Amino acid sequence: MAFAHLTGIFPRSEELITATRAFERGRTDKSALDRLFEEEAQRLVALEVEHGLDYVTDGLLRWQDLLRPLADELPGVHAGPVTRWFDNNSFYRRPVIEAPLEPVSGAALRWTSVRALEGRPWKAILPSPWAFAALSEDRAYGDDKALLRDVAEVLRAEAASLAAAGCRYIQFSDPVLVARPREGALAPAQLALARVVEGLNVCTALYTFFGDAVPLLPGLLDFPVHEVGFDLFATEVDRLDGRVREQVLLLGGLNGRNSLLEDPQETAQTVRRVADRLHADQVAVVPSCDLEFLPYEVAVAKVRRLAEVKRLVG
Amino acid sequence: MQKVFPTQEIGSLAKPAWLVKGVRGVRPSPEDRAELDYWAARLEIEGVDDLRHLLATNGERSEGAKQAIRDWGALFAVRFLEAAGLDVVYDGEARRVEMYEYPVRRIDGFQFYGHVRSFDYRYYRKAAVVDRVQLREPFHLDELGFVKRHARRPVKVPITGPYTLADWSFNEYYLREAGDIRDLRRRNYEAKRRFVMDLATEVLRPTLLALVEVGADWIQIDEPAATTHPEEVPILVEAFNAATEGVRARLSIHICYSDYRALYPHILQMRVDMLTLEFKNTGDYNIVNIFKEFGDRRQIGLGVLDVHSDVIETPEEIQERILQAVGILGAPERIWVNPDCGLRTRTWDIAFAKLQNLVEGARLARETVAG
Repeated sequence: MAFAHLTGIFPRSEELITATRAFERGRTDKSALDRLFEEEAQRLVALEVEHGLDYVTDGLLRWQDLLRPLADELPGVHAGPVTRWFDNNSFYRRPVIEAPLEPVSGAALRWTSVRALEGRPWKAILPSPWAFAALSEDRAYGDDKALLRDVAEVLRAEAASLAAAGCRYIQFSDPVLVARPREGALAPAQLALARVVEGLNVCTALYTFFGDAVPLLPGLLDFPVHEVGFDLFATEVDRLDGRVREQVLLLGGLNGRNSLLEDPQETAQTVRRVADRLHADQVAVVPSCDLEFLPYEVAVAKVRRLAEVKRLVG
Repeated sequence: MQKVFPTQEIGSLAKPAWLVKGVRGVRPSPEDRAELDYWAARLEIEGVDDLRHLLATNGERSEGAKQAIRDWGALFAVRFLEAAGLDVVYDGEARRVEMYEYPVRRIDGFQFYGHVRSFDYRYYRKAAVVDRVQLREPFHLDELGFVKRHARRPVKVPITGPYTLADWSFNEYYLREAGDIRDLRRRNYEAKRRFVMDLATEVLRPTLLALVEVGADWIQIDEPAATTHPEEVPILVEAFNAATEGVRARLSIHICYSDYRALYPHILQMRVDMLTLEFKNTGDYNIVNIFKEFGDRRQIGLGVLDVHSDVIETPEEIQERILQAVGILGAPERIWVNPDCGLRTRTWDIAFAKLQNLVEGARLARETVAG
């Protein structure tokens, strides 16, 4: 059985881009910009519903990057230097942790268009604890283990508040594990994520991207989440080896970083081939990463392809 | 003997509202006109009544009028950089939309789809290569000619490099062309290489040769994407060398917001005179060590201004950063001083104050090493 949904930040439309620029130049106020964000989130949800995606997201349209709500909202943390976002021509502001972390609960929620999602099978996206810790600058701990432990507590509170607000699915995004692999990373990353999802009453997923998942298998399949996945454009698929337990396998089969629209037949074949290699009964076809690397109209076209591939995989 | 720690700009300045509106055929507001008057007086630019006259009306302007307004924009920027005290100047890229779109619109084979985000509320228009690239005609020539005629200081012309042009584009044509390569990752690499090399040989090299022909003696090739994909640094180097083959001018490369370690050792094979890099953003000046570590004896352009912040670096702070680099490299004569990148996101007031302090910081450092 195949599912399909989005895996990250969706690009802003040309109209919204114009509005954000006007806002930054002081030519429009925050309430007018907020209204546009809200309307655009509703349009995106309608698009996802129309194309039969199994979970819907608000596209994280307000998020300046995956880490920003936490960087902006956690006491003792601020959004620091402009830093390249992996191997992309886009950047994030590295969170600078100046004081021991304290959960605030609801940071991500405040940046979410909840009204657009209410009553829908709503999917939220957070950084994994491993990714957040690795992509931040630590000026408070000097001890990776203690930092990771506290990041997990922060994300645990975030996940709980999202679940309480009605979210049905939480994906933890982790480009670090595969794009910046480190010896011995899997065990602490797994332990931290286990703490985050412990007792959480929603579907959970770990999604990796921008790097080859092959070296992390089969360990990646042991993470304590309901779904686990990787980027097919960065993975040597013919070298994949492992056996999925009971999880749904998330397969990033539509390239979120190139405008070339995939041939749905070819993508469906690749997805089936990977599912067979890993003995997966259930797969979800997803974009390889956030679609924010594409212009809005191309991303919309990719959503349509996603629906086609889902139908073909069956 | 040439002075140590000479100062240079990197590229773009913010475009004044009167320039942007003037070219669009919109009469600048009283505030815009006041800004024009303020900078005209401060930079001692004469004959501005002609510009005021050009801007006085609303409505579509003739190409000649647009060109004249752009000329004024370039002149203001040249005088701005000179008045700040820089040793090497240009025109703040006053005529260019920005560093990617301007050249791409002069090359056949590209198609624009829309904007993508760079970060926060910053975006750029991104094109896809849908056919083999072909240069329509060399660009930046008139622009350089204008600056050469008006500048009172030495001039350096910036141009976007082939690797960055390719990396910031979607690759459709060359991926299809490489479709016979079965392995997807190898196919991507080869398609990228073909794309970059076509840009280097078919677009950049003829343009660089033409720039030298009209008087360029220093060309800065901007490659901010240089280390985006560390495994592709060999392509960057191969393309730079191919693009600059036979180009008789001083050559520098500008790289920013990158992992400089990823450049080495391949960049040692690059035929370039100076590496101009961003440091202030991260504050990590110890990274200068890699020059020493790899025995790289070329000149270094030391970034000492954060171009994304309104905080004005003090001359003393800049002096300290320069001396820190001297302490590591032990070669003051190889160090130039510059902002991290173009100052286009700062107001002219902020940019001017930053540049003045940069010049003063370099002077203080000069005094220190002179003992």
